Amino acid sequence: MHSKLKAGYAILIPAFFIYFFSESVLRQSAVANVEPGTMNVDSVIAKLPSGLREAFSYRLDVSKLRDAIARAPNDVELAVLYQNLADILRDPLEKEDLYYKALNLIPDQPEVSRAYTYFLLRKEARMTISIPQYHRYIAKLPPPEQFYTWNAGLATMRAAKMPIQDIYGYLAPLASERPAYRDFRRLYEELADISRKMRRSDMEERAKDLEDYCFDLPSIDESLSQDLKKKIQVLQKK
Amino acid sequence: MFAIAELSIKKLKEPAFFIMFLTALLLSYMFSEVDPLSDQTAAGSLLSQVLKSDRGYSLLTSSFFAFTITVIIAVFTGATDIPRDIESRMIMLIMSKPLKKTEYLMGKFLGILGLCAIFFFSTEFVILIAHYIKTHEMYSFMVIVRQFYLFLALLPLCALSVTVSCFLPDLSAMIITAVYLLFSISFSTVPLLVAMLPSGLAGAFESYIFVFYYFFPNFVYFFQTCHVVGIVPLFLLIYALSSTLILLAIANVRIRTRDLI
Repeated sequence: MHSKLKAGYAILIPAFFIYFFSESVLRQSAVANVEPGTMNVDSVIAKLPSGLREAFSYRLDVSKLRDAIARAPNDVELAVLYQNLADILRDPLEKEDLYYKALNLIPDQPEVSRAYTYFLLRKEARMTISIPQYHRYIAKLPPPEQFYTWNAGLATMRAAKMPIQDIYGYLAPLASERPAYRDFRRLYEELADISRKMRRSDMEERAKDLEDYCFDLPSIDESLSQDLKKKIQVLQKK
Repeated sequence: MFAIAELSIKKLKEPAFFIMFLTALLLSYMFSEVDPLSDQTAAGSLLSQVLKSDRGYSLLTSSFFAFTITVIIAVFTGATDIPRDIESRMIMLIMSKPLKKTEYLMGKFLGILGLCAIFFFSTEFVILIAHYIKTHEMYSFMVIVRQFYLFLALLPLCALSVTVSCFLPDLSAMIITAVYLLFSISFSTVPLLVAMLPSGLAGAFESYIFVFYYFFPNFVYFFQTCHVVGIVPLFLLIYALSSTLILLAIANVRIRTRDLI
């Protein structure tokens, strides 16, 4: 019986090696039949089953961004790429590290708004941006970016399930500003809702007034397209 | 062992098998002039490039058709033969003879392979004759030999159905073999796609894919365009024999240890 078992192994183990080796040769032969250039990485990934496609797309996106980081021409570009990579990375430590690098590279610039939003009230992180710090940063931004940054900050606080008092403290300064775009209406609506819950009727009234005021304003998209048209007209005149 | 094989081959005399055999011959006559298999796949797709005909001799669609009919026979017969012997107590009668369980298993495998060979080669010959009748031309010798290489794919396929039948009752074995085959075919291009990606992109994930993939014989390799003499036919033979040996070894362990009553 023992000798039969040995004989079985003596046949099976080489059979496995031969199976793997012959499969590898046949795979290479099949791949060699494919015309170079007809299958690029994106088209190959698109043909994979959905579960595999997501995993490979992720790796491809990460490797493309790492290559772009290595070739970044200036600090602004580098900071944007750091944040782009951090947005998609699954490793929380590396993600945080990249946002931190971006923030230190060009502090207070409009391009690092995502890093500011990431560190907003994040106590366990290597740095924390307080609400007053975030407000000071927003004040330095051009008006369209201001809206997106307000919104991103609110979304971050909601995702972190911050107490309603903190969200009120975050949105309250909006009541003392005149909005520039119709898009701000959502933020005033939110402020009015929170004020009502906190029984701050004066703030609720003010937020509702500003919400109504927003209706007559142009949206960010409309405003940007008008600016673009003006620029085109100037260029055409030239 | 050969007597056991003969028992399986004699099934061809049964009316159901005989009708199926005649139907296969008739259909192969009808489909004999279909364009090559490489023209049947979407242009530019991975499969069409693997099957394309400018690097050797490609497979005829009619041969693929003959193969498909034989696969059906292999699955239906291979997966049911042993469980039915056990259920009908025929196995007790066979085992009362001076015959080892391994010899019984090999006899069953050879019998099913023989049955498949009769189906496959008969349909192939009908295709060749039909082509001559319809066009008054014969396929070149190399093209004919290339079509017969497809028989190699039937080795692991028959071994697979026999192996599954050693573990399960007839109906379950038939379903599991069919599902296993379908999964094997659907998964067959994935390693080719992964192999075309830049090295390092897949990382550790690639290892998991290949570990999983090695559990399924890749039948696409048997369909690829190749020369009649060369590395590819040689390795097709080695691949077919090694995978058959592994599957039969698993079946042998099972049949030697299982209760046959």
